[in-house]
Amino acid sequence: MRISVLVVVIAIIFMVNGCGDSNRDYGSELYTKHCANCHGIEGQGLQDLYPPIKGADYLIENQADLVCLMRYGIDGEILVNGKKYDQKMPSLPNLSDVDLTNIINYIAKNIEPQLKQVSLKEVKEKSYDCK
Amino acid sequence: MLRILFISLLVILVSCAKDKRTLPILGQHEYNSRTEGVSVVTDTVFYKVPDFKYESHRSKMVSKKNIDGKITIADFFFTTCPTICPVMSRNMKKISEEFAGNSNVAILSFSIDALHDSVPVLKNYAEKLNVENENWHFMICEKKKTFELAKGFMISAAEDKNAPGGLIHSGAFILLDGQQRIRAYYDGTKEEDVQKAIDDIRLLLNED
Repeated sequence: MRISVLVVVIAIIFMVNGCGDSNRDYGSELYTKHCANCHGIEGQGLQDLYPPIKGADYLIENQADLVCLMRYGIDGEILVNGKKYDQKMPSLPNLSDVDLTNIINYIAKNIEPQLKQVSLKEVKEKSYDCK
Repeated sequence: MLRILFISLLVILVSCAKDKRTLPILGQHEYNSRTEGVSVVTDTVFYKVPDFKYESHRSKMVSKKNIDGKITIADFFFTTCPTICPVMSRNMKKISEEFAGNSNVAILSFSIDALHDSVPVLKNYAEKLNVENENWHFMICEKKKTFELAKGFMISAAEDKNAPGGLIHSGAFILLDGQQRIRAYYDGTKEEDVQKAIDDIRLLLNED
């Protein structure tokens, strides 16, 4: 009887552990896939081609528009830390509001601490306002 | 005494082995046999990348003649590529900085997007990337010719409506020796391959 209880407990532990990777960082994965190619893994940018994210005044000043910028991209010249950038930033139409929330919070936590963390509700509202 | 001799011998052996690293000559080679007197001699004709003639971001024509005798590293890209190209350019720039001023090393970046990447666009891209190495050429030609040339470099480049930017291409860096024979490929999207490429370029520079 005791042995069978032990077996059941061990099985439950294995099932719980196997059900999901609690250490998985979706924000990091999404940032790496959709942002890091141009802006760099540490948000350092690429020379004068692609602007930095880390320490970027443009990002801090346009926090309110960040969701729309990421969803619909940027076409035209922007000024970041006094430097002009004119490479087109592609839109990311396939990213969900959850994805955008994860990316913004990853950036806020790991790359640019002046950026405020956002809730899914805020991102949903901003997404709606973009239209 | 014997121990010191043994260690010395070991050191000599290790250092000799290190110097003898060579890179293979890649591609489909041809073998031509001919008769010389009573014996048959077989010559190996090594594969070489095809001829090309492109306009560079400096508005100059660059052809295979321009890289004759030089160690060349090449890639295929396009300036509006939203995926792997920025990473490739970032990594190629590290290689270019390592060999800046060395006229024996050429870097060729072939654009596969003839519709968008005009000479001024390529010039702007090179300037924004702060390319100072005068032996790095960003180049453009007809799309079909570039797709064919990519095949000649044994990599893929093609149109794909489903791909971001409408084009797909390999992220490889291709290393050629002075005879335009392919000697190695690297993953241009991987930072760890940059050092491998730099080491191999040095190796080919010292090759007989």
